[in-house]
This record gives sequence, structure tokens and C-alpha cells, in this order.
Amino acid sequence: MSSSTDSLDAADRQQRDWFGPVMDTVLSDKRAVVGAAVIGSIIVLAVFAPYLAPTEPQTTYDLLEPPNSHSEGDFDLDGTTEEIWHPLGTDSQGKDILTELIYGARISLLVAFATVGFALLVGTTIGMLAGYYRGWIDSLLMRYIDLQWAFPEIVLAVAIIAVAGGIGVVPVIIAIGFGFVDDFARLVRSEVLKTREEAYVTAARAVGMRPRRVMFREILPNVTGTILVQITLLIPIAILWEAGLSFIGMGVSPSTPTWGLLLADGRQFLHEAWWISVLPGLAILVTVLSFTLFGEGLREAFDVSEREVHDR
Amino acid sequence: MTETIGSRTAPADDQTSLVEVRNLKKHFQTTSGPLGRLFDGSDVVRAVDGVDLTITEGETVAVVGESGCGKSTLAKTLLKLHQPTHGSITYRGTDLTDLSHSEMRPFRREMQIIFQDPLGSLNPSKTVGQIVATPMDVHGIGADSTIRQERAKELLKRVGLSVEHFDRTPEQLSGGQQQRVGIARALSVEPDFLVADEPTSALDVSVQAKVLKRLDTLTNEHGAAMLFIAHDLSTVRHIADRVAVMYLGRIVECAAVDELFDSPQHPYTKALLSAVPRIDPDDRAERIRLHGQVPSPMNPPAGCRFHTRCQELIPPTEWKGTQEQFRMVFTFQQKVLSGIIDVEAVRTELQEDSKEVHPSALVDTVVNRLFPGNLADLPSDAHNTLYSAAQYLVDGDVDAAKGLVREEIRTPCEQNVPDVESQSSCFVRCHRYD
Amino acid sequence: MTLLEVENLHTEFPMDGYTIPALNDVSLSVSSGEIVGVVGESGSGKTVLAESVMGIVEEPGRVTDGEIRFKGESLLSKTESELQSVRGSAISLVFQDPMNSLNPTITVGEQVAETIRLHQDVGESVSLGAEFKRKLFGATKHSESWKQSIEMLETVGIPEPASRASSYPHEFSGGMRQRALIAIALSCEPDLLIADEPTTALDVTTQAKLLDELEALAKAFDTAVMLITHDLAVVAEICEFVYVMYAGEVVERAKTERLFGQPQHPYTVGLLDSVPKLDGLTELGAIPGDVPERTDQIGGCLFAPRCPEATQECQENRPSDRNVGDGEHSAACLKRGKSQSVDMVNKHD
Repeated sequence: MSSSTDSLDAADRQQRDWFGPVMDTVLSDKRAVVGAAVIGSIIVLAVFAPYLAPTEPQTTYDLLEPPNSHSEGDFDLDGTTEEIWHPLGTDSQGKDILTELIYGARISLLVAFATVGFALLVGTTIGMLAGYYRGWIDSLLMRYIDLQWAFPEIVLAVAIIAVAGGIGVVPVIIAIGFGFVDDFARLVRSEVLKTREEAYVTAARAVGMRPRRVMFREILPNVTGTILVQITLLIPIAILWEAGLSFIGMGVSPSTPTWGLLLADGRQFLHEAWWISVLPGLAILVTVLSFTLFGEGLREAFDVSEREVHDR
Repeated sequence: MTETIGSRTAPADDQTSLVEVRNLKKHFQTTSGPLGRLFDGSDVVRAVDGVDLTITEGETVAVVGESGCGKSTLAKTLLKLHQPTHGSITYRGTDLTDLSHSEMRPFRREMQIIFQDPLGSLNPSKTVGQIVATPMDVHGIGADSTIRQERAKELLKRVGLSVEHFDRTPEQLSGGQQQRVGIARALSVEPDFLVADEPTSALDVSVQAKVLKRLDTLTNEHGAAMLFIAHDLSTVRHIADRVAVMYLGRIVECAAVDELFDSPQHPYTKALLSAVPRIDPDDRAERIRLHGQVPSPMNPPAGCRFHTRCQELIPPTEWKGTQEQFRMVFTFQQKVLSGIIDVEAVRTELQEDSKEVHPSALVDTVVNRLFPGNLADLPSDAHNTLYSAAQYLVDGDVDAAKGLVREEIRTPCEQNVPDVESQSSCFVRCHRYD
Repeated sequence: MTLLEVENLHTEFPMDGYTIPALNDVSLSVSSGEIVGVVGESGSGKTVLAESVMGIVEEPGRVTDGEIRFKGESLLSKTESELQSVRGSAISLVFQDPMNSLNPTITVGEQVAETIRLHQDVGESVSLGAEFKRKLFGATKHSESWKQSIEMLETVGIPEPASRASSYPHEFSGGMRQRALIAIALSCEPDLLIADEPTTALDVTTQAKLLDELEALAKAFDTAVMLITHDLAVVAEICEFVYVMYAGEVVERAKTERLFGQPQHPYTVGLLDSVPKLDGLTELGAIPGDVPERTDQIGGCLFAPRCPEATQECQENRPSDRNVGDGEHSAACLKRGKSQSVDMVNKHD
């Protein structure tokens, strides 16, 4: 196992050799594999939406067609009649549901990742500072976190969107993101409190390392496992939140297709056209489930590899 | 098979002092908040309670003591990893005591530490190479990362590891190898002062020997002074120039290594030495038994802190019996004061067939339980004190019993703190010598 | 009388693609009332040995060959429930870290009493309901098991046992806890006590006291002791016979005085050189190299890579036990003594 001397980044890379064992454990867990596969497919669908969607988004065809039906007519106004197959039917405006779902995945995933990303950044920083410095900084930050946690999230979300001057992608991301900040803050803080007592952190201080470096280059890498797991568990919740906000009309925008919006639209037609609500609902369900499964698998993997001790 | 140790240079008398510690104290609060303080009273752990120490250039000073004596706290406080509660730490003439973390930074390059837990002191998310190179990076040693990596590899070789280990993670190494990484890390900045906090306690015997020798050689090569903390006197003979014995936050004896081992003065030092198990039966002397338990650092004994367990306790001038007898009487006092005897339990034990226990039988039993020797030979007033105290206990008047034994059983060791010339490098903190 | 006989024991740990022989052809014996020392460093297999004897080797490890006989009966062929009745009553085990072995929510006295109730017939019910009541409401101080418990605590040197028995483990010091563990182990008057590093976590002064007391107790109860440790000096102080283990094998065995006076195996010699001396005259020796990790890949003597006397022959052939002295002293080294054709185990027959 000789080291290559020209791996210049070796000393500055923060990657440790946990990837291998973690992947091994995850791959051996069937649920996690299924979850990962489904997530992967959804991401692929979202990214390659223009190529994979059967029709153009926002184009209308026959209204309220059930799944596995066809629309006939001259929709592109070129004089000829086309027959369009709607595998999942159309909605009240005639939009192909499959197309809307695929494009909707983009928004849902985008919002979910951005939201969690925002919460991750803010929450981790707060948690790290609170856990490392303790004392009054900790008290102050944690009081804020407590306050935010006690505040009903939906009210907070609506308030933020109102303050931001209306709906849109960024306000929604911040609105939902704020709701998750306390999750990360608490988690990171407790991990940091634990880790800062370890001898290697004392060693880092003894070397004369500045606090910021100790926090983000010594302590943080050892907390990534837990953070990663938390991310995978929060993403599905973010998706649900986005759907919920869209449902009550506070979502990204009334014209951009999102799963929540589709759900909302279909509410009035539940009797005649159940597929308009049920199918997006199913999409949300499947996505949330797969993230949760994958997250569980990750958690087990990290638990195992962190506690693995070669005892002879 | 046997590798020889590098020669240790004896410290010259006029060597410059590198580190000077004066009356250093480090106390820890256990309960927080005014309410806790109100109800719990003495809640301060006096881990380090007045330590004087001088370390000269290139010298290896060992601090030896059992668990709870504060040696580890001393090591960390010396490096300002804990803020001293009192006293001063001077490094090459500069007072470090009140410096902030950022003001300490330049000094940290010259003072390094090796920890007791080989694995715990290494960041599990980093490779060996990163760990060893980090201190250099922090202090800007070496022009770029390539040079630092080269230096790191050199250091690995010097501590007996190979370049192969550069990319390994700490868990992939054995305990001895991990500890060597810790040493390489400490040496990467070429410190003039190295604090080794029980570096070999967690290692196997053969590995311990290797690490000890390596440390000795390396510190000699660098000309670095070392403060070596140990709980075991045997490890320090091979490596130390001077030895300080620590008990309950204070240093009780400090002497050149040969002197300490060949003619120990302080009773605790003697007890420590006699407790070390010996391979050669001819080496074994009568084991010195210490009395009672180690007192809590929250409530150290008055006067000489060791007196409660000391086998050479000094009887008061008016004592008519032997020293050994006084020692046993004193043990009686300690037991009464600590409330260790449960009279009711004794009564229950004596009770057979639910017959009433005769009070004098109970008193007899209590006295015999608390006095570890032969009652018959005791001077009569001591005898009376013992029985009276026991009577009080049987009557349920614990305070009276305690008052009596405190009043009647006294020793100069408790009244005064032993005097010591704190400036000298060798001293004994004991009334038998002051 | 031979109490415990271990013959050619093999214990393996299957890993990912290979197998580690934690114990390779290990033989030893303990006679009644004898204090035997098993000395070894990390990776020597000494703890696995204790676990194999007690039948508590952790998965995926397992005993694959050899025999373990206790009082003539084979332990390896016993079922789990049969072993449970042996454990604690006939063979007791004391671990290194007392804090982890004692239940923090039950008083010390009660833990000793519990063992007494389970293994001895003191006429008290050990049904779930009865035990539950005891734990909830506290044991009656007049019960026979409690009285015996206090006696036991006194015997192991805990001061004021009557009052200390009502204390919890965290209220005890390290030495006291270890004594409590020994009390539990001895309370059923076992024939054999296996103590795995019983004093390693203790201070020197406490260790000294405890060792003396352990020796006295063993004699008083006529209990044999298998003392497992890495500390040679501890072994020298109280053991009568010593086995030295290295990388899963027994490399030398002898009476204590002989082993320390005339060590034969180069590992034993190196180990003795490594023990720090108090006299300040002897240099501290060291054994170069490290304990091998993949012992399954080494064909010859396991110690050869580190041995100053190793020859080509040593690299190729695994040495068997060779008689090097008075009939009881043997070392597994090609450069010593004469080879034995029969496995030498029963030194007292």
C-alpha cells in the first residue's frame, strides 16, 4: 500500500477513507439500494425533463382525460391532426400529467435541496459556534433556536414569504429553510459538544490552531456522517413542505408546475378525475419513501463504521 | 536484541531555567449556579493546589503520582490548555499566565504535548501524513505543502514508522504506532519543551519500552526539555533526570532520579516504591501499607495532606505509646470522622435469636471494628478515648464522638503545613524533615 | 488434581476472505488450588483463551479444534444451558474494568447476594417476581443471602461491609469495585477463578494490596486462579506457574522462579528486558518490530521476524514445544532443547 508522492492534495484534502466501508454497508442493505435507485431515477428524470417528457410543458390538450387515453386534434396549429397519448391523463386545463409531474420534479427537488442546503449552512454555523465556544454565545444562540423551534413553522413560513414581498423560489426556500435551521443547529451543537472533549481537539488547540480552523477543519469532518444522515432525512420533509405551501397557494408560483400545485388543482375534481391529485400524491409518497429508506441505510452505515474497532 | 539508551546528560548547576512554575493552582467548580453552591458547600475540586516546579533546558523532569493527584491537570495547565486559577507560569522569562489564546500562539510552537490515549489524540478523519503535517502548517514551517509532506515523512521515519504509514488512518495502526504518530506530530515544530502525559500507560510492556527509548533519544537529539507524567515509578527511572512525586495537588518530594530511588525521603514516595511489583524476589521488601482511602481533592486534609494515610505519622510530644500505636489510634479517629461505621448494622449482626444486644458488647465490637490493633497495650488515656467515643456512637451521639476524637487525638502533622524551600530543585514536604 | 485441561485448542475468527487463528494449538493446565499466570501482550490471544474456556467467544469467532476439560468433563461438548450452570459456580470470571461489569442501578451488596441466591441453596426464591420485589423495595437485611453477602464483602477486604453493602458501584473507588467483583466471583466458591487483567486499571498501591489479598483468598477458599495479564511483575509476585503467549500460541511455560530466572524463549527474554527496572543499573531493552497481524500467512515461527537468533530454518518451520529443563519447562523454539513428540500438558500426572 505505497503512497504516491505526487498526490499533492493529500495533505490538504479533508476526505478520509470512510467512503469505502460506508458504501459497502449501504450497498448490502437492500432497502437503501432501492431507495437510492429510485432517487437516482427521479433526479435523472428531473434533469433530463425536456428529453424524457412526452409533451411540452404547459401545453394543453383535451381536458380531464383519464390515464392511458388519447387526445386528438390539431394542438400545434400546423394544420394536421395529431394523436397524443396521455399515459397518466390530463388535468383540468388539459395539461399532460406525466409531463407536469416530470417538470414538477425539478421544482420539488430544487427547492428541497436548496432549502436543506440553506438550513445546513446556517444551522451548522450556529451549532458549531454554540458548541465550541459554549458560555454566553451558546446561551444566546440556543435561546434563538429555542424561540424559532417553538414558533409554529407554517406561520413562520407565511410570515417570511409575506416579508419577502410575495411568492417565488427564493422566498419559499428561505421560508422552509428557516424551519430546518434548528434541526441542524441542535444536531451539530450536540456533536460538537461531544467531540470537543476528544483528545485530538485538545491536541489541535495545543498546537496553537486558531478556533475557526479547529472548528471547521478538525471537528467538522468528524460530524459529517451525522449531518449527511440528517440531510437525507430532511429532504423528503422539505418536499412535503413545498407541496404543502403550493397547496395553500403560497408555493413557488401559480404557473410553475409543482407537485403541490397539481395536488391542489385536482382537489375540486376528485370525483370525476381522481388522477389529477392522486398521481402527484403518489409521486410525493414514492420520493419521500426512497429518501427515507436511503437515509436509514446511511445511518446504519455510519453507525457501523464509526463504531468499528479492530479488537484483538 | 537490547538497544542501548542514548546517554542522558546530567543538568549542570547553572543551566538556564526554561519553565518556571510558582504556586500554580487549578481548581474546578463542580456544581454550577448559586443554588448548588448554597447547598453543596465545598464543591471545588482542587486538582492542582500550589505547585512549584522549575525545568531547565534539556532536562527531563518526571511527575509521578496516582490517579486523582492532579498530574494530568498540571500538565495541561502548564501549557495553558486550562486557565490557571492562581500562580504563575514563566517560559524563558515571559509570564504566560494571563496571555490569551492568540497571544500564546507563538509560544505553542516551542511547547508541545503528547497524550495518554494514543488513538484518541489523533483525528480519525485524517491520515497520518495530514496529522503530522498540520502543526507545521499552522506555524508556517516549510514553504509549501510539498515540503511539509516531505518533512512529515522524515519525521515518521525518525519515530520508527515507515513512509507506508503516511496515508493510513489512525484506526489502521496499532497502539504503539499511534503513539509514535503523536510523537512525530509533537516534534514536527521542533519544540524546546515537551509535555508527555502518561504516553506509555496504555501500551504493552514491550511497546512501552520502545516508545520510552525513542522519546529519550529524540528529546536528547533535539535538546528539548521534557515533563514526563507517569503513574508508575518504574517507567521513569530510565528516562528522567529529576523526579517529583505528587499527591493531592501538591508535590511532596522532588529529587534527582538516583537519589529518589535509592534513598527516598517522603513516606509517600517510600510507599509508592514499595508497592511496585518486582520480578526478582530478592528485590522485594516489606510492603508498606497505606491507611484509609485517598481523600477527595474537594476536601483535602488540613496540614500535611498525606498525614491521614501516612505510616510515619508523628505522634504528639505527650504520647506515651509507640509510633505504630499512635498510627492505629489515628486510624480509629479517621474512621469515626468518616462515619464509616453503621452501629445499627453491627447491632443487627450481633443480634441472634432476637435477643437484645448488651450495650457493652456492642461498644466492644465497635471499638474492635475501628481499631486495627491490639487494644491491651495502649496507654490508658488513649484506651479511654476509644471506648468513650464508641459509647457515644452507640448512644447515637455522632457529633460528640467526632468532637471527642478530634480533641483527644492530635498530631503535629495535621496542625501545620510542612515548610519547604520552594525555590530549590530538590525538596521534601514532610514534618520529619523540616 | 488437574482441574482444567486445555489441549491443542484452536480458536478462529473468520474475516473478509481470510481467517485469523486467534489461538493456535494452545495447551495448558491448572491444578486445584494453584495460581497460574498467563502472560501476553495485545494480540497474544490471552483474552480469547479465557473466553474459549468459558464458552463466551464473540461471534464470528469460534473454537474449531482441540479439547477443554474441566474436572474431567469436556466443556466444548456441553450445551449452553449446561455451561450456564458451570459459569459462576464452578468457574468464575473477573474482568478488567469493574465499572462495566457491575450494574450501576443495584447496590453492591445486592449484586453479591443475587449471585449467592442463584448458585447456592439458601432457601430463597429466585423467581422473577421475588427478584423484582427485591430490586424495587430493597432486600431484607435479615435474609440469609444478604448476611452471606456482607461476609463475602468483608472477606475481600471492604471496610465496614455492613454499611458499604448498601452503596452503589459509583460510590466505590476503583479498588473497591474490583474487590466487589472478586466477591461476586468467589461467592459461589468456584473451583477456578479466571481473572483477566484484574489490577491493570488500578493504582500501584491499590494493586499491591489487592494482589496480596487475592493470593490469600485463593488459598483460603482453595480456589485455583488463572491470572491473565501483560504485567510480568504481577505474575512474578503471586503465580506459581506461568504460560507466556505470543500471537495466539504458548511460547514458553515454566514454574515462576525458573521462567524469570532462566527464560528460554527469545520472546520471553525480550519481554523481561523490556520491563522497566527500578535499580537504575540495567538498560531498558526492546523487541524490534511489531506483533504480526496476518498470522495465517506466516509459515514458520511467528516470532522469527523479530528474533535476533532466527535462522532460515526458523522462517520455514513452526516450532513445537521443546523440553528445556526440569520436565515442566518448555519453550517453542527450534534453537532450544529437544523436541517433544507428545504434546506436553499434564505436568502433574
